[in-house]
Amino acid sequence: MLTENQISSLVIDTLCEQAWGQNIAVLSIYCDYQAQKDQSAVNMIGGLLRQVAPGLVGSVGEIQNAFEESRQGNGKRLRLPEMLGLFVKTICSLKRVYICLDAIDELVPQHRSELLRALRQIIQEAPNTRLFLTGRPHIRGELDRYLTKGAYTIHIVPDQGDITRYLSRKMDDDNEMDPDLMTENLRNDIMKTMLEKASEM
Amino acid sequence: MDTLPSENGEPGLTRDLRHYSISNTRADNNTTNNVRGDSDQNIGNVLNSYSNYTINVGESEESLRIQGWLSPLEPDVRHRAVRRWRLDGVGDWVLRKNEFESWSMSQDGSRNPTLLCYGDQGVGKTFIR
Repeated sequence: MLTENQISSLVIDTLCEQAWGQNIAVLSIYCDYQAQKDQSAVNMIGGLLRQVAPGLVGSVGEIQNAFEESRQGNGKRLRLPEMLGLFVKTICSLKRVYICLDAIDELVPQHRSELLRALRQIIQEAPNTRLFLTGRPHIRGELDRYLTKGAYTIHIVPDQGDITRYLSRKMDDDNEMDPDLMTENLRNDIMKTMLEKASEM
Repeated sequence: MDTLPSENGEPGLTRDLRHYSISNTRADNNTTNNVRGDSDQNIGNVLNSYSNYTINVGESEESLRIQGWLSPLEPDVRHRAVRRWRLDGVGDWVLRKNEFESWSMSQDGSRNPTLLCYGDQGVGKTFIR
């Protein structure tokens, strides 16, 4: 698969590299059809929060306090407004926070709108936040309504280099199964045809 | 194999280096530095079995409990899987886009803090399976 989530993983790793040695957090979640039930807005924000590193200045005490409070009470999980409050409190002392969410269209619509509202609140309350989102074009209207109006946008189209790299890997894999079947000619034919098809899309 | 010193520090989340090492670094020597860089905190039993690739960090039960309490999601698992699969060079063109640079370097409060990458149906996931 030549996927956006590869782009996401590249962006996440690149940001991590740039963040090295600074008081910067890079938090990410890949949305997934198969995890729809668990990927509610509150779990998503909590899932981001649990990635905030202990080494980042001032980032941990708040979480610990909230956990202790909950434990002394009835041990309940936080609800969304409380989770959001904790998230903002935790990140506001950092120099910068990158939130990366891949394939946001794969969330259940109700969860997605709750999450987008939550993200809008985070951006408003913590100006040190930068948001990276990937998704299908059909949810652009929805995204624009909540937060991406005027945002930077990049249209993901795999370039020829990406396609060639991908095909080479696939054919190498196939070749290992039965080296006699994949001749050089066949290999070139497949490559040529696929690149032609891709350029027609 | 190194064992990092365990000193007194705050209990609980300060022991959790697992995510730190995963979410904030890519190069494995950086990961190493990260763990070492934090050794003034109480990090419990940190086993650096990093013959370049793996780091096993002994996490306190407390830290795991707090993480589980925050969310049942484990985003790092998926990230590692996707990263392992990623081909060198794929998507590099995105990083060279002006939009990416402007977004990642933008000052607080200037313009929109969001970068949206969208791919057409059939170009991303369903393209060439």
